[in-house]
Amino acid sequence: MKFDTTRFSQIDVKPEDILIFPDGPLGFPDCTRFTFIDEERAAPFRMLQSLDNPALAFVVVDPLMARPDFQFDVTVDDLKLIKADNTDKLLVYAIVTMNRNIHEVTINLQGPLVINPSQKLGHQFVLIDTDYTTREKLLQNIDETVEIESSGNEKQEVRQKQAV
Amino acid sequence: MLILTRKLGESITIGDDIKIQVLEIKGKQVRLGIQAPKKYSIHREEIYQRIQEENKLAAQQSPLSLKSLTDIWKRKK
Repeated sequence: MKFDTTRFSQIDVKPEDILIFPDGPLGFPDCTRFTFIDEERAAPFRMLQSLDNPALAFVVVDPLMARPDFQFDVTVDDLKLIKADNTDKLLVYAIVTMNRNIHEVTINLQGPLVINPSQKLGHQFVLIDTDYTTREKLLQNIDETVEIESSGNEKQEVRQKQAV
Repeated sequence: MLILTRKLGESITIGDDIKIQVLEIKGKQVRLGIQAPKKYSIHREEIYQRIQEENKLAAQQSPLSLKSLTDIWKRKK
């Protein structure tokens, strides 16, 4: 099926690549059909393109790439929204809010997108009992790294620490 | 807007299937219990609005390309 998009002009989407967000992302109740578009060399960042609004596309990323300890609780009722029995095969993405300044790029960890690939269903969850906000810095430890990089030997030590 | 006064423990009903009860009043805080069918998503308004606003912000065309974001991100990591 062919769809017009603002960013990628006309795209051809296979029916099995169409994801349905029955309620739409919050604020976009009429945008229920989406598909992932992977640009070259853009991984782990992906575009989630609306098929109902050519201009609507979100940059999304696996939240674990930015926050390896990110987790949240869901209830059985939550999972029913995407026709899932458990969380095993679900995909979670965080919407990225881009900014000209890379240090100001944020990810929304309070409203994660949860997708059940087998049913092609997605839903934007709203986390209530969480410390995560809608505006978490993508590069949270960067200032520290940049400062220490100038002082030679300590550089490796810091890198290792972050890798752990 | 319809305005009703309720005392502690009292409820209001909306239609056949929604019930909102005042559970606790403590100073300026009111605890509400809400019974509603699953099809309704219930949110604290400010959180709901915050996510809505963030979605709208995130949906804007970016001045930073995805490729440059990825490049910088990989280098910084």
